[in-house]
Amino acid sequence: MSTGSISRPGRFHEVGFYRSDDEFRALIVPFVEEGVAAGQPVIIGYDDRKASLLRSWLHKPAAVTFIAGTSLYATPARAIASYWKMFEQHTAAGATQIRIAGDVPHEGNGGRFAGWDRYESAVNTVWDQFPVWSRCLYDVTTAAPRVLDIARRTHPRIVLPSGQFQDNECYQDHRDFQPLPSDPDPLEGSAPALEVTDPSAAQVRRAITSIGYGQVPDAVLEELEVGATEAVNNARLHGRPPVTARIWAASGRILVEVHDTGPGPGDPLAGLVPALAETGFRGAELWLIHMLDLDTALIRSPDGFTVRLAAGQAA
Amino acid sequence: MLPTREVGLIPTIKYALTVNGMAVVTAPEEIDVTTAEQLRMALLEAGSHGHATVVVDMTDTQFCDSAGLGVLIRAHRRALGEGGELRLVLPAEGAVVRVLTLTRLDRLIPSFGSLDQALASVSASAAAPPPVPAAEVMLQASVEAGESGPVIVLAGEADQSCAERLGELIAGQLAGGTRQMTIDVSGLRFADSASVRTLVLAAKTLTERGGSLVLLDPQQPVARVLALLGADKMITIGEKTPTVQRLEHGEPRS
Repeated sequence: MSTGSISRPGRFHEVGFYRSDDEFRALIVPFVEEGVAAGQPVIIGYDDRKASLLRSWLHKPAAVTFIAGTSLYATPARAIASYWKMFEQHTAAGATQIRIAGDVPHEGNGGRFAGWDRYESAVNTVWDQFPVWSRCLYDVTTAAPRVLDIARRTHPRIVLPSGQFQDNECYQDHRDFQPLPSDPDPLEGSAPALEVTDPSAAQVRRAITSIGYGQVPDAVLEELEVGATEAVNNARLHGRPPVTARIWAASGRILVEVHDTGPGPGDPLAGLVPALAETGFRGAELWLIHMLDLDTALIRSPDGFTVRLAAGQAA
Repeated sequence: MLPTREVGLIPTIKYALTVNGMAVVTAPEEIDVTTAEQLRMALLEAGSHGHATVVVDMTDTQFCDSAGLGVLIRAHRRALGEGGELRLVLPAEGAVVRVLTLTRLDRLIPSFGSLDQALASVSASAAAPPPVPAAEVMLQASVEAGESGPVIVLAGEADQSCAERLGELIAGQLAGGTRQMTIDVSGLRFADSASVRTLVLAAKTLTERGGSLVLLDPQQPVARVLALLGADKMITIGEKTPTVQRLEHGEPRS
């Protein structure tokens, strides 16, 4: 165990576990206050309850950037991109250390954890160009065991309520990280409304529109059209034929799967790293999919790779 | 004026048997539960005569309820299944246009400002013998000379399958050394990352020449993809004319 010098600038992704508001306070307040005292940008992405609790504990809450609402953590790729934009602005303004703390959605705080396991792993490298110190605090009284298991495997070090640090022996490098298996979607149990081999993206778009019409709002169908098009593009450009598209729709939910027989992307960060115009769009297909308002899962199996997109009423 | 004949027992719905190989059905002034069934039968009959594409003239239609919308969407799906489509002729404004816009049916079913326009537009694809593969007619492009450089007009859907063709078209215009290019995308319903990549490449070339690429009136789904990919930082987004004026010129609305 080491007590680490707290104000040394650098890149850290650390986790803390708490059982009470007192422990939460001990884990978050010094982190924020020291950042503020050093003139460092501090960005907090908590829900309203935790944000107001933290505000009440701080000497100068106005010096801290609180991101309200759920937009910041809408999808893992959007969270990475939103923080990215803030980091660019702060470093351009001369910041040499940026501190962030936020809650990824999980069932214990009213969200869905699916996909956030990959986020927690990706954060170890995806912001490498920025001096980011990220402290992730989990409430062990509400987080499910599998969420805590992911938290333990994705943070190189653990911070204790005493302020001390522990090297995390459970940590898995992002290349070795084993994400959670995707839960099956209930619609997958029934026969798909459409199954088509080697379709054009346009055919899949037409099918989504006619099968999904009336099941979900049209804006959601538009999201699915974009997502399915990129999934077909990705399968054709990087996958192995044949490519199969399947569509299900029932009870206000729609599910689209695009499968190819290749092994899937080798990069564990695929879809999470911003593929913007200025960076030449490398990996733009999967990244665009992850930016949409859809439940997205990348599923590797012995028979190939599947991009699964779902929208509408919760499964 | 087109020859019309009245269909069976449905006096209010007229059906011109063939125009350029397409059926034209004139919709009643009011489409509600009492007339929706008549419209359904007229559309069925039009389709059953081997005309995959059916033009529904709604110029004089003042009201259309959900039963009517259901009839239209089902007829459109049936027509798509046979390699054709439904085409709506709509007035520039009014309750029907509002309902179709609100329900976004106008994005699903191609719509036009005049009967002539609908027929002219259909003849290119639907008059061709067997159903034309979607990819080949998906993107329509034309080039006009503008005041400050070429204006490319795109309509339909742009994705990976036609990105190469789009790239060649743009490269052909860039070859002239132009510094300024405008692409009217108001008729473009869909663009994917491959086509946005093509546009960004053109924008880079034009920027290096000290000019710019201007996209006119992207529809919401296209604007969203441009923004998500950060392309709106490298391409100037401009406005053309209000929708109503476009309709008066008989361009597709969707």
